[in-house]
Amino acid sequence: MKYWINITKLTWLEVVQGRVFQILLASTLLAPLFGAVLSSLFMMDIGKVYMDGVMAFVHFISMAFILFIAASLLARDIEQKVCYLLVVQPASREAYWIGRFFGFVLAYVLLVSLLVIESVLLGEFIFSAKAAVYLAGYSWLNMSLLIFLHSFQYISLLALVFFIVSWATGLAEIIFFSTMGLILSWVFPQLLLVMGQSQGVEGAPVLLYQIFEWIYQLLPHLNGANIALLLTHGDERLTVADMSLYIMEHVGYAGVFLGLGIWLFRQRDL
Amino acid sequence: MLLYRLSFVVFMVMLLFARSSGQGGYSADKVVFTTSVFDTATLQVVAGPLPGLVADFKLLNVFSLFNEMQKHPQSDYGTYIYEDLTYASDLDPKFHDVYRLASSILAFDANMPEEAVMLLEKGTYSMPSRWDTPFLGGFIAFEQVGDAQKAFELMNLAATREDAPPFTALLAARYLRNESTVEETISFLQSLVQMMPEDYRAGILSRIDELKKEVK
Repeated sequence: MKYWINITKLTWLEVVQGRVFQILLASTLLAPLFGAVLSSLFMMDIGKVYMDGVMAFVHFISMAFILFIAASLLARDIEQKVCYLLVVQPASREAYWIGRFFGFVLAYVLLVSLLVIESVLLGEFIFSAKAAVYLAGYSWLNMSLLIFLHSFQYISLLALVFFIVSWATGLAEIIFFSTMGLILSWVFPQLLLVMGQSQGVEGAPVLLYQIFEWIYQLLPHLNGANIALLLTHGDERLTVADMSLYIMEHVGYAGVFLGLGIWLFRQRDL
Repeated sequence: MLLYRLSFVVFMVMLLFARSSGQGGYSADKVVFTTSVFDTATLQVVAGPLPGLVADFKLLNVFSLFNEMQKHPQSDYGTYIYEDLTYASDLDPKFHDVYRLASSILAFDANMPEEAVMLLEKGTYSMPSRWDTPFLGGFIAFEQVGDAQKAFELMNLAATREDAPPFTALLAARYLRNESTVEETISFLQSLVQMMPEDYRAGILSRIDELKKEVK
């Protein structure tokens, strides 16, 4: 049982000591700065614009973390046979799989925590003298919730990468399919929304719409935008139940795809 | 070694020269705004999980278009401003800056009050807690468009909103009964000017001047 903890520690150390991760850690400083510069160009709703700027960086950092750190390290495990060294008795393939996943999650939590601290500190500093009418939904709590919830959807994408790694042959395939998964997750919700709207349905065949919907069910749902729009405007319609369901969806997706990945990885001839 | 260093310097000079004087790159006086290449549906797909940020950029484009419009008053930049405000309100329906710009530069500077009323009406329903959006829509519908029915509908909505100050209902009633004086309209426009940054006051101020001439 304790082997997965050892692999988690090992993954954490590998990631944290990597140069890409250290650059990402340093780049978290740019998030609040970008938000502050963007908000300074606006008249009203500057708190909302600040939050939008920070949120863009959450996406950028999360995508970079998943593609350039998690996917690359897992591809190296497969291509350079590093997993041979880790998957030896008494450590099981499941321990390797789960240990790697939680190692990445821990490193990602460090990135996100730093983003929260920096964004809240700068936000409190620049908005301390501003009247509430300019801040829209900005508050330290909303800012923290926004970053936490927005980054949480990427746990699903990380699990999808693990699923891809379980059958992909090497770096090229892993990066290709992970990037495809990311792009499709990015555009599908809005694509379906647009197709579902009156002007879209007339132009799109119903069968195509249904096929898209099925594909969408297999993808992680990057559905943080709706929650973000409510948080940035301080809309009180966002309830604890909504947030819990959102978290539950991503934990569920991660569990399912991690499980499928383990199943395929056990069958795999290493 | 000297050759390498010299080559580096030469390449650096070439790069800086090409970037500063070539036609391919960005220069501040060349590109100051864009006109939209996407329809709203495509824009929604491209924006993906960042509709708020894309709406912010659309509004930045409105600021640039407004500056251009001031330099070339006879141009049709107002149409592009209306388009960008519409896109921004589609992507982020609660973005208050959109409606503030609709009630100022679109209605007064671009002289597109009907379009401004349409946008403000849209904002009325997407922001059910705000009273000022329907009130401004009603005011522009009455004052600029001359559509008393739309003005009644919107001002009535404004007066029933939770946080509406008491003067809302009074002012609305006076407008709709045609009992308002030009001085009251000037006073309301002056309060609107106070809410706008200096750069965006010109259109409203010129309307105030016109009304003042009417009084005289």
